[in-house]
Amino acid sequence: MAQMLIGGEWVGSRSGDYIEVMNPATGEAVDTAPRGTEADAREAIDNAREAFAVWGEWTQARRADVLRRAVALFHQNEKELATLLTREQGKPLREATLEIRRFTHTIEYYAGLGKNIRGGYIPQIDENKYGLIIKRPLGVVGAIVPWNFPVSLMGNKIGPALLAGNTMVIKPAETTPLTDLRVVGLFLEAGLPKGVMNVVTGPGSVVGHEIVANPTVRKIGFTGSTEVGRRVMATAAQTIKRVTLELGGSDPMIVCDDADLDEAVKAAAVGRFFNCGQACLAIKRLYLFDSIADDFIEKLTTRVKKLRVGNGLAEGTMLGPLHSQSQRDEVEAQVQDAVDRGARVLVGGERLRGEGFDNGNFYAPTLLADVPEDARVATEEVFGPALPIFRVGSLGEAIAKANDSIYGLGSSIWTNDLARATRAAERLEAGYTWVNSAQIIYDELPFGGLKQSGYGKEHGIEAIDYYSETKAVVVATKKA
Amino acid sequence: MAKMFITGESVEALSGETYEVRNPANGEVVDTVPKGNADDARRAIDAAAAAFDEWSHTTTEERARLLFKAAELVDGERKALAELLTKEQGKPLMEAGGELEHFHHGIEFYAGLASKVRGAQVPLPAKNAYGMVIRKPLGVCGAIVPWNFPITLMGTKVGPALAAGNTVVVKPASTTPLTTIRIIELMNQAGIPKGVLNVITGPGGVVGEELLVNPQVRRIAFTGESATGKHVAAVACGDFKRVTLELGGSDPMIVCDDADIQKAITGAMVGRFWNAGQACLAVKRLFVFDQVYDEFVNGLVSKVSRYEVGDGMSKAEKPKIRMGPLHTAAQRDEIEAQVKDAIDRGAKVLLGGARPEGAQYEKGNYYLPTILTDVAEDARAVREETFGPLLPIFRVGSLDEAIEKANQSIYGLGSSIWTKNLDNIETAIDRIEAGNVWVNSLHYGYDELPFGGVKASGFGREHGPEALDYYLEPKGVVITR
Repeated sequence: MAQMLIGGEWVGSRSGDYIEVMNPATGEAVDTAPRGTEADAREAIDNAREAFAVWGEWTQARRADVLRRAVALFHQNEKELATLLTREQGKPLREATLEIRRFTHTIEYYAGLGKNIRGGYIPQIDENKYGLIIKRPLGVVGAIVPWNFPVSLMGNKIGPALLAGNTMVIKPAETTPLTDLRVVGLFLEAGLPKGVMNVVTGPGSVVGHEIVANPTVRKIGFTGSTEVGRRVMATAAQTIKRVTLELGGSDPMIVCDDADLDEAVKAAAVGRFFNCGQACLAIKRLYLFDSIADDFIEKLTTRVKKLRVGNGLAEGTMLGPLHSQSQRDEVEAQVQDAVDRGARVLVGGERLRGEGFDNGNFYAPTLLADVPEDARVATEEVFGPALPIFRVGSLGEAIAKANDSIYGLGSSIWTNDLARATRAAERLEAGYTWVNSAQIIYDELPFGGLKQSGYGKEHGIEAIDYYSETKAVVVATKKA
Repeated sequence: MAKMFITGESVEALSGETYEVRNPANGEVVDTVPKGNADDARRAIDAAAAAFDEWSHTTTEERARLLFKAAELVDGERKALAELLTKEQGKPLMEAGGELEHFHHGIEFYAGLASKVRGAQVPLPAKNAYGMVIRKPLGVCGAIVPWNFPITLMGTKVGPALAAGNTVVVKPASTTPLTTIRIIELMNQAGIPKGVLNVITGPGGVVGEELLVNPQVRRIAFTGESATGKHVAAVACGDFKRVTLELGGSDPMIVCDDADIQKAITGAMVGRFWNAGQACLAVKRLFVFDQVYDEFVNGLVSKVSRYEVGDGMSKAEKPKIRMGPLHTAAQRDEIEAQVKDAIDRGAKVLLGGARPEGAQYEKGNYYLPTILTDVAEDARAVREETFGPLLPIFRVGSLDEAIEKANQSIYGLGSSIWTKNLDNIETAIDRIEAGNVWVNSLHYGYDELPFGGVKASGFGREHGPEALDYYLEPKGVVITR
């Protein structure tokens, strides 16, 4: 039975209740976690506030040392963490391992910034006056983490928050608290002082709501759906909290007639079906130039047919189950809607049945052609293994359609033409554009969406700004 | 016998010649090293040039990983390395350990920064065009390192150079090559590709000179005295090598009447007598306000009396503190001449002013910690850099007087002011001509801050993210579609 972490102590909920964490591949219980309450959340917040007085005064270098020691522990425990992640989340072990590595890399990136958070100095702003810009941590920050990448998306918040000197209350997704708790335990082993990082498990509407509403919390780092993000922002606004929101997306991928098709096909398959399609950043709409469309579709269909679906712990599995039944229900409904409107199923379009599948939330990787533009798969975010394909006559048309979405997270273009690549990079309404590249996130670059895909940036040096206050100081000096 | 390290291999000089490295504490031979010549230097430069293309195209992440690993391997041998450093350099073991610690931090600092190097994307006024600022490593860098802090001053060059993607040829001082050689060997063992990091030994006038004139070398980082720095600049700038020079200093320390006297005394003591005073960055002229002069000077003399000179390998019994010998006999001769000159011009010796007496001191270059007052302003100890345990103290009536005198020097490296008064602090920060000002703080070079001198103290900066700028060339790119 897993416990929450409050003030450096592993504890159950005050309510005594717990939640069963289920394996999406088998429907069996993996473990239980406390069903936290508002009171639990408040206690965690109070502990974080007390710890801030200490942690906020540590030198950056010393904070970075803790992060670096933790990195060594993550490497050592990689296999155990990845296995646990697969069991609670469903993703294949290979992908779970990649997630642990990505998380580790992110923490290492911010550890490497230790000693480098700087303010500024502005000379002679007035006669005998100069200005200083000083950077201060915010205080207690809340991190609300989703179930699709429970570890790496938590790391995006921990890295900059801790290095900048904040303390944290983390709320993992109700269905994926286990690996997060284990990871946080390793931070403690690495020497993180008590109360600097607290984890409260339980329902978002109770625990999450308290974190977002509580006036002591000065910032919310939230990753999740656009709908919940809207509510987080509204509630946070009551106390003028800083928010960073990483929300939904419907990333367009545009393949021009001069693209390297084999590379583009590979990128489309990985970009859509990684994590069983349950990623904010994923290729969700594919725009193919007419002249290469048939060729491309044939290659992609062949590739998708080879994706082996199964239990993430089984060797050779490339695609796990969907994380929850409701998740599968939604994808099914979106595909059905498209078919009803005249879409053609090229591959998949159904649940997988038989031994090894019946108890899990499996769904076959699906490609849809001839999709009308008002279909739900085109207008909504598709958070599962289904990809609608559209034909376009020109880059102008592709960009116009790509931008015809409330979302603006990722995007990619495949072409060897400089003018096309530049135009797409400038015109696609998205926080990220990849040119002839698979949609891979880099720690070195700021990440975050435009339009209704979010607000603020994670990753990069930029993320530090979202966990710091900037203060201006004017110093008047005696006339010389 | 220690060997040079070129293209991942320990090698002798092509001539087969060697020379001895001697312990400044007792004159005994510590080890021998190859006496390299211009051909050996060219061999190392060629190796670094050949390794550059591949190394400069590795990912920043890979370079960071190797630097972290290198720092870890060096740290694993810290005790043995500190002993070796004490034997060849003379400094007390505690200070040698501190030097290795500082080296370790510096390498980790640049390892962490490797993936944070950034250029820019720039909108341009031209139609359909935009600009980029990309940043490219320079190529082969020559690192010429002095004997006073052989390891940290090598790290301040190797760290940013490698993180930025350059390859390096290190030339340690002739008298302190041993610890450097071992460290470079360990760093190579961490997996840094062959030829990326090399070390050559031999006379500066031959081996160092080849680094300065060889056209394949694109950058010289030099730490040493100002006279040699002038030569380096003149030769290296001949074919437009990028050059940074960390040269001599004569740091003023100003103690105001409201200073925390005890803390200031400690600052002066450590600031002057660390490394037996052989530091570019050291308190070399002390200006004390009239009102606190007697209290301060008495306190300082009593505290500095705690130093006991001796072999750096042995600890002094508490409350005594070990101070090692001077590094060379020539170094001691110069300090003796500077002290004598000051006395001839009327200075009083409050402490020291002589070699220690006793049979145990006869074979080493020992000199007692020395404090002088009533020093004439034209004395050599004021006008020149004093690179040994010698501190002249001056009485001043005001901050203006102190700053005026502080600035009457060709040097401008460090400086400090000790006061709680904000007006005094602001005035000092603004007016003292120096690359660094410490307020109520020991003159210590933090990794976080750029370090370097103004006036005759040097050119360019080491430390801080700023140091990377000196190992990267910005390149403007315009793209029109």
